[in-house]
Amino acid sequence: MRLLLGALRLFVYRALWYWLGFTSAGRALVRALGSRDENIRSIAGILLAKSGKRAEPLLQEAVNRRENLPTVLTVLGSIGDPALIPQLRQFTNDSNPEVAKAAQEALKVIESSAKL
Amino acid sequence: MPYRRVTKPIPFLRAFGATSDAAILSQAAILLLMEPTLRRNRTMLAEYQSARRTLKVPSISARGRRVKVEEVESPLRLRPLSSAKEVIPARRFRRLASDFAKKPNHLAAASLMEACLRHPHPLVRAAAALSYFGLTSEPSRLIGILEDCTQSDDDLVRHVAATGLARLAPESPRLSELSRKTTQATIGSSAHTSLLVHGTWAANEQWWKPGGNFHSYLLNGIRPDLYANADAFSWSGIYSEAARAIAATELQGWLGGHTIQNPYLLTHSHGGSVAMLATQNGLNTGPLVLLSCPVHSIYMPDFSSTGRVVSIRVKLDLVTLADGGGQKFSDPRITERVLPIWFDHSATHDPAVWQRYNLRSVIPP
Repeated sequence: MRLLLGALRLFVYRALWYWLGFTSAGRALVRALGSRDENIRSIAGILLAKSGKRAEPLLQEAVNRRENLPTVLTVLGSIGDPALIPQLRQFTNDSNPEVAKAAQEALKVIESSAKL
Repeated sequence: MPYRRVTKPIPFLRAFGATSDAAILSQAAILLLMEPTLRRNRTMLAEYQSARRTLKVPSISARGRRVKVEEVESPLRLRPLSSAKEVIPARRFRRLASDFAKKPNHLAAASLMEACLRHPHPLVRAAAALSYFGLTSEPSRLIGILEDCTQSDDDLVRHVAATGLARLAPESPRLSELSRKTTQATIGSSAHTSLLVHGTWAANEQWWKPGGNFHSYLLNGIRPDLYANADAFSWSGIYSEAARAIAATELQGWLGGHTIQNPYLLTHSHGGSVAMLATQNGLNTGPLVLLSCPVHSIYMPDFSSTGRVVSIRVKLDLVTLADGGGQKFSDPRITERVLPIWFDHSATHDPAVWQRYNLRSVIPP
């Protein structure tokens, strides 16, 4: 039941942010990327990735705070916006290997999609 | 040799001196956690902080001089490693561990490690050799111990020793012998090599990695042929069709590079999509197990190049719901098993769920 309520909360956050413009609800969605529950992390990631470029400012804030950085970079890679390439490059040599790997993988996907 | 599953590791002082599987595994883990490279790396140190606390590993400075062999061999009355093989009784390790706990310094750590090189169990010898490398004045002595341990019948001992050799003596001829042996075994045998393919967002998760809970569960009984080296296949975990397409190509490349043919694939979530896409690109696989795999029409296996396909899922998977994929495969060539569990996408890679619902009997042999 807790999982169901947690997931429902994410769908509500997404609707409040995406349709009604409540930024705080969007930020809650980004924070959920760091949830201890794998289900919650996955659902938050999917909802943000599906929001496309609209999610970029929220994710940018998280990047600046280095909040859940490997997952946030993976979401940015999922959005696939070529404009993110310079920023992702900055993290490819990050001292945290998980961050560096996530940035490299995101770059690989965006660059190969851009070539197509 | 399979070890009894450890549900509660044994902390530092109690571990040394005991001889149970849990004690041996705990001793090896403690020695590896004392490894100087790990202690100097802040990121790794933070990652293993909780394990260090659980096992009560004494802290010593990451920097310091190397300890001369004679400083520890003589007071402990140990014979040089080059002489006849010496095995130390368990009670001495307890005393040395106790000395180290009272005075956690480099000399005490070196004394314990030097003694552990003569431990009756090869796993502890291998772990001690790996960890002692950066602390002893004569590290070259330890290569022989690691090389010797790569001959063990025990998979875990072999893997620890080979990993140590790869890091500390990559030129060792034993490593090339081992890789030749693996290649020959793979080509010559008709048995599958199993592979675990993680899903979206999971590249940094532990459960699928060698040593992770689900990987270990599968390896220790369900699929002893599960690929367990540190370079296990992984993909970006990015949530996009492009990322899955790249991952499918990478999977084929990885298998080709490891000369693994017809792998038995166990996949979770969109890891299943990656595997199915790879079969569409020409990959031949053995059985394909799809755990909580979202159903999308573009991701279906090429049935002419796969073995039996089994899908295991829960009822109304919430992650699949967010993904927008279908919950149920309609193709009759895919055997479906729906667990009496609701919503939980990760339940299908939970060892407790596998045990409770005897999923071993559901997947192809």
